[in-house]
Amino acid sequence: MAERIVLSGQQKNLIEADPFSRIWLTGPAGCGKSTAAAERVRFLMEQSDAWPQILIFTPGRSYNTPYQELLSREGIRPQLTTYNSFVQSSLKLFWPLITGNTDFENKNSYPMFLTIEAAQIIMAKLIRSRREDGYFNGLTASPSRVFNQVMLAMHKCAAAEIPFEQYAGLMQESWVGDGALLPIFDQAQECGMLYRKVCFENNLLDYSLQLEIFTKYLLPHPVFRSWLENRKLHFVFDNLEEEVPAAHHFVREIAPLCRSMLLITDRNGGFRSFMGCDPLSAETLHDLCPAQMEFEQSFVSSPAIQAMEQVISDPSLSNRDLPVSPRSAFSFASGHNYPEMIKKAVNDVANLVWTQGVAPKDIVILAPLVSDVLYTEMERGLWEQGIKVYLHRPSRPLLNERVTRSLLILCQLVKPIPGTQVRLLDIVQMAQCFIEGLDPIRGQLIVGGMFRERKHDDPNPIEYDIRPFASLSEEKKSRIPAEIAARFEILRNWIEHQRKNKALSPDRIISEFFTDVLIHEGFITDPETNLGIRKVVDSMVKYKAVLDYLDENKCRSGFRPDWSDYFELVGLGMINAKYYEELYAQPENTVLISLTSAYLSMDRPVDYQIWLNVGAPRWWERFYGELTNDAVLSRFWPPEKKWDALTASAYNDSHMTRQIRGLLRRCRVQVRAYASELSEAGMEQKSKLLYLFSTLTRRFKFDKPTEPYPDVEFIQELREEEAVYPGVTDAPPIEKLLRDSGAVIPIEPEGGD
Amino acid sequence: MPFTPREEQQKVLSYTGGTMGISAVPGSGKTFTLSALAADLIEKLVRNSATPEPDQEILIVTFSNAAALNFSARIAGFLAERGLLPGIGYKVCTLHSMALDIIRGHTQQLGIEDDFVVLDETGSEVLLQRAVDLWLMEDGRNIFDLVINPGYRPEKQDEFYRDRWRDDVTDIVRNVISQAKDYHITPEELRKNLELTDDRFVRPLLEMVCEIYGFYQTQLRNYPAMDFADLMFYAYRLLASDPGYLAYLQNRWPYILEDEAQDSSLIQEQVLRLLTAKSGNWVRVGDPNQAINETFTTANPKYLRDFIEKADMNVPMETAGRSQRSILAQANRLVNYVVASHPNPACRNGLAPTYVRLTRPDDKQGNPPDDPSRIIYDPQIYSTREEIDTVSRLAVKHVQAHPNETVAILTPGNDYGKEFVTRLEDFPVEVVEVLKSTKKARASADVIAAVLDWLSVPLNRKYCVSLFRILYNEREKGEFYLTEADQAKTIAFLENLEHPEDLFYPMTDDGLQKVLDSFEADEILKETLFRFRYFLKRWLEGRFLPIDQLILLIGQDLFTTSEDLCCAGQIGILLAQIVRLNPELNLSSMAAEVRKIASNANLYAGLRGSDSQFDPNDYPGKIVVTTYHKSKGLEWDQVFLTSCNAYDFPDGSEAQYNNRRYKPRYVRDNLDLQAEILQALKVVSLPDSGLQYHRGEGSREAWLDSVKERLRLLYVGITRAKRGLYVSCNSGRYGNTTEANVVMKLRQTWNH
Repeated sequence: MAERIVLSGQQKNLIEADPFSRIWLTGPAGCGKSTAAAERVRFLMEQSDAWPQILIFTPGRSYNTPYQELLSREGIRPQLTTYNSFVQSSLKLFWPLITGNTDFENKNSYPMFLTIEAAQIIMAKLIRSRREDGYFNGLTASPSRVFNQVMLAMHKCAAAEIPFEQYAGLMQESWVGDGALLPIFDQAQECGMLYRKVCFENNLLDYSLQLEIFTKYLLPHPVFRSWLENRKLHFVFDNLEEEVPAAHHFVREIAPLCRSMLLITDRNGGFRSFMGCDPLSAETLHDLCPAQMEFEQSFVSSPAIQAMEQVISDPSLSNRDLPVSPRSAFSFASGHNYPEMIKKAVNDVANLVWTQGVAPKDIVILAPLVSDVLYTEMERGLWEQGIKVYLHRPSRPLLNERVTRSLLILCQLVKPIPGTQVRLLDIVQMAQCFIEGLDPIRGQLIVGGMFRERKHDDPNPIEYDIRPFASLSEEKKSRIPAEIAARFEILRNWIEHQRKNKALSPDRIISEFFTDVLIHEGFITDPETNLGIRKVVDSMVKYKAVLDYLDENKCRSGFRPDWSDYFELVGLGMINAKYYEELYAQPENTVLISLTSAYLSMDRPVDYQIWLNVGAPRWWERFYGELTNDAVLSRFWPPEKKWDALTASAYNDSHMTRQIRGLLRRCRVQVRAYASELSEAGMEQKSKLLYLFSTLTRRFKFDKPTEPYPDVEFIQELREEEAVYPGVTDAPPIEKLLRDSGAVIPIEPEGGD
Repeated sequence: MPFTPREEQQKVLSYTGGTMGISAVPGSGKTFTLSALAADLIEKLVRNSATPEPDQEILIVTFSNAAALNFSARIAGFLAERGLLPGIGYKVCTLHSMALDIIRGHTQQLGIEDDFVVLDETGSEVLLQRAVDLWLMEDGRNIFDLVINPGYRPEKQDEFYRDRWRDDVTDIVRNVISQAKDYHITPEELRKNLELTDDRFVRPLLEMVCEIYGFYQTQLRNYPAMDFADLMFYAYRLLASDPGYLAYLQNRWPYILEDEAQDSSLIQEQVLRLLTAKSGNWVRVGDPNQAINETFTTANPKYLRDFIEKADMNVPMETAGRSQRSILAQANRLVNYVVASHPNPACRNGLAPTYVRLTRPDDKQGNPPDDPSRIIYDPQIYSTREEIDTVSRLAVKHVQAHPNETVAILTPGNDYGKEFVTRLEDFPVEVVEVLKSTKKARASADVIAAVLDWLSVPLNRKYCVSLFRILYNEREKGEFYLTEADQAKTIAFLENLEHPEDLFYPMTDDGLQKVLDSFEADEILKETLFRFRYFLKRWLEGRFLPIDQLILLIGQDLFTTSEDLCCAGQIGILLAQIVRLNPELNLSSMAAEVRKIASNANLYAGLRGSDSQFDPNDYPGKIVVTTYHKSKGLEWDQVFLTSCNAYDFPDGSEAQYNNRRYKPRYVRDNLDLQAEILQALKVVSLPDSGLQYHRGEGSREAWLDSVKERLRLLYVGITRAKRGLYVSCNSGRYGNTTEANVVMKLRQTWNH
């Protein structure tokens, strides 16, 4: 059982307020809002006669912790969901009520809810033909970027409740860039409308349509409203600022129907504006609540960190006006080379853990971009110091992840797909991913012997014949342990068997791989592999459902997507729709490495934050997209205002300040910042954050104006059996580290596409 | 030594605002003075502003990275003396980096994906070549048939078409596209303007450019990427279209100091003009007599000359303490000869009538003692082989006699330089090669290629051994150094290792021990082997990574200098690009690609360039071999100027016109195809200028421009010398070239 928390007077006031009151609660992160809200829920449950009447919205799973703790502690089960999930389930429930009003051609059947992947594939197919006619020629962007952007533009418009028909006009009116680019907005709108036509013809419901139809037809529907009213809801919406204006509209609409309301905002939040979320829109709801409460006191940060935050938010504050000096809140070291910076940061972390006794889970390493190089260097460096890490880097393309990539290779081995190519090296890597104890060298030896490219006229796609292990030369066979050979034979037999079943779809291939192959001893079924399989299968199953649906309903669009479209999009870098990593709990005794933005979405304060690469421009720059701009596609964008570089710069400034304050609010003891003059690729770099640190250093550490990387080489003295000697000791692969540390994956993810 | 400014330097330092034009002769201390001025301005900015805007900076732009690094170091020194933080309050960069800085973060307004890549010459070359191939597929041979000299036999014509045409077209359009970007004209706009010329010869050529330019830009767009010329093109567009952003940058950079301004192009000048329009604080320093990049770039010294003429303050820096009196006399005699009596009057403005003055006797940075005997014009016309031999011997002798002096051999081209390097290897002297791609860059590429080779077949012992050899054979690599005996011992072990997997992935707990027992070596050597094994395993396990990340990972493990890391970055980007075009490419083909890049192309270290800081003073007693072009900005005690013949330094006579350097030579009517297209491009790009295309005019102008540029190149060569100058001549590749007229005149009058 978790520890009981000591509550402040303010928190108690909130918790025990009149059960029928409508309360607006605001304050910065770390001041105990959600904790108090969860206790308030418990209070309401105790007051209430029936428990399901409490409805809690959060922006996503990572914001659920306080409520989940309540749930596990007390066995209480309020309805905890997101606005999107609520919209989807309501539409499913009430579809027959509203279908007559919509533009869908087939009003007698249920619609198909599209995943983002399926929607991307349909959009890509539509746009490809337009691109051949010269559409989007003015853009310097990869093809996948174009359809993603059009898709996003539709989402953002729907989120902000802006009819998509107004999209091009809005973007053009704010445009100060190259005039020759103006037609691209008309083209994007045309493609979006065409896509929507296809959706209406085929009863497909994507994210933007879900929001629009819900708001336009279901929300005002008397039956739906009386259903809501009869539930006599106590309604809690936490982190309102991280949700879209359509969700805020929903709150306004149901306010009169609820028994009580608790609306909570993080005053410095707004970290999901790239998804169309809008703190300004959230702010307008405060008039719904006669009771207004504000929490200020941080339960997280030290006074020095709080002072640092004060100085950053108001640089004109004099030192005298600060309650304490922020001097101890940060350290800042800069040097020339990137590898040197990583090395020093590694030593710093090792020093914190081994000499200062800081628990690894109380340290986070942050960077605006976590490249493979940065991660690999940190992971290896810390491993050599006896420290394990956990990486949080959500929303990566399927193709860039080891397990998902290997599964796709496996599918292509069973069923070659035109337009895709599998190399021998890919097969080695696939085998390594699933066969326990297979090293890259023996992998190469065995794959080179067993897999032979099939000769035929059309080398696209490459197909492989697989020879039995027994057919390898005696010399080669002698170099492969019997158990590895046996595992390869299982794999070979399974592929051969699957190849005979021509009708098998890729999702089935992978599911059967799991049940037929991975269950055997000697195959890897660790959390990472399971998660990868879930990702791919889930993505494919949903895509297949769309294909089946289109088949059953006789696709009316003059085109029919198929599996080669799926694989093509994966090849172009299709991003998986779900934030699965959120499901993957950080193991104990690991140091978290995370993207700054992703960390801010986690409610997870730590003692020490290591800020890497503070010279990287990405600390300041926010990218707005060529076709989508959440500032312009917002309800609050003044008509005729121009999106010029100065406006963008101001947005970047406030974005950086918000991020930094958000980070500081999640830091208990100290920020340790590292900069290198050169980037990972050896290019010179400077950022506004670098200037900020130089100003802070000048102001509060004037006695030490320059702080080169600390000289101390930290080498952990480990016990003999734990000692690591590079070159002699073999690095355990990351999956082993994860296995050892017992990472846990919850069994059933909640929807939230 | 404390810096005591001379009168003219003092005048520069008195600058407080407005426009200032400085024409500075070689050796006049312009870098030093400009750095001191920058430090003054930075100090004022940092100390005087009550509420400092944290990112306000004095902007110092230069043409080359070498100069940028030089400035950075000097300014940091000045600031440290004044107790200020180096790195804060200023930005030193090349014009390209400045453009990138302007664009980055504001790509949306240009319709550019934020993850765009800046392709260096090597990267963009791949795309350009593809664009040319696409065009060739459409065009067949039409254009070739239009331009080929009909005098050639059909078989010969076929041979030119087959062997040369593709590369020549690529060379030509590369420069034409850069020029089009300088005029800020897109392929679409160019197409619209085509009607402005109806010449039957050049119109189809412009159409060809349009097509290829279009294909090329489409590929850049889909990548998404920019080439170097795009950087300035987009920066200009952004500033011209967004007054708010322009105002922001004008505020961010209240002063702009520009070095090597004679090498700025039209668009670069326009961008700087926009940035300084509000404050008017713009200092430009340069030497029109050292403008030697016109042929290869869109640079033109006339922009600097015009600026100096109209500037609020005009400070000539004509006193130079670098060289001894007799060397300065050669430079002044060259200027005098060109201005007063060049045989082709059209070339007399090739050098400006600026004469170098000696320092005052009390000057702390005064000239070295005069020694006329150290000026030697060798009257002999050697064959190239003889010249290489003679000059190499003399240089070696010089180094042996004066081990504390710095020495350089300057050659007109890289290939001739390489021949010197090869010859010098026969002598007991250390040679430092500063040629096309640096040896270091080529070495970095070789290491990466060797790693990729091994990664492609980790079972292959031969690859493993070559990788070991390449990693452990260079003394300067520090921790990778092994003695020859130790190296041989380890190599023998690796060669005899029957099953590499037993070393890298032993199957049993004592497996590794068993393998190692067969390696009879001391602890240090064993540790070296462990380290080698450690890296190899790490890279092997990194094969899952995207190729650019894998290369960077290898780079981070092996390299520490920014130049090497930049090379790794560039190779990674380039390979990622190639893999995108050919997803089935395996690692060994990628290794081959890396080698191709290293041997054929300029391996630039990103935007920092391959010309990263080279200080001749680091190499006393060694012989530096470099080109005239690369020698700019550098100085040595003794300089050997080679190839001073009429081909490399022509005098612009009619007879030489027919034997001039231009490509391709199989074009009809002795026309310079690139010059003709550039001329026509100018006509259609600047429709308001009233220019008209006349066939042949472009070829002639280009010829005269090149004659003038070669005179300036000679001037640069002469002024590199501090104490001694040796001028020699060869009869050219075919043995039919004479001594350059200008050199003959200088020789005759000097010896006389």
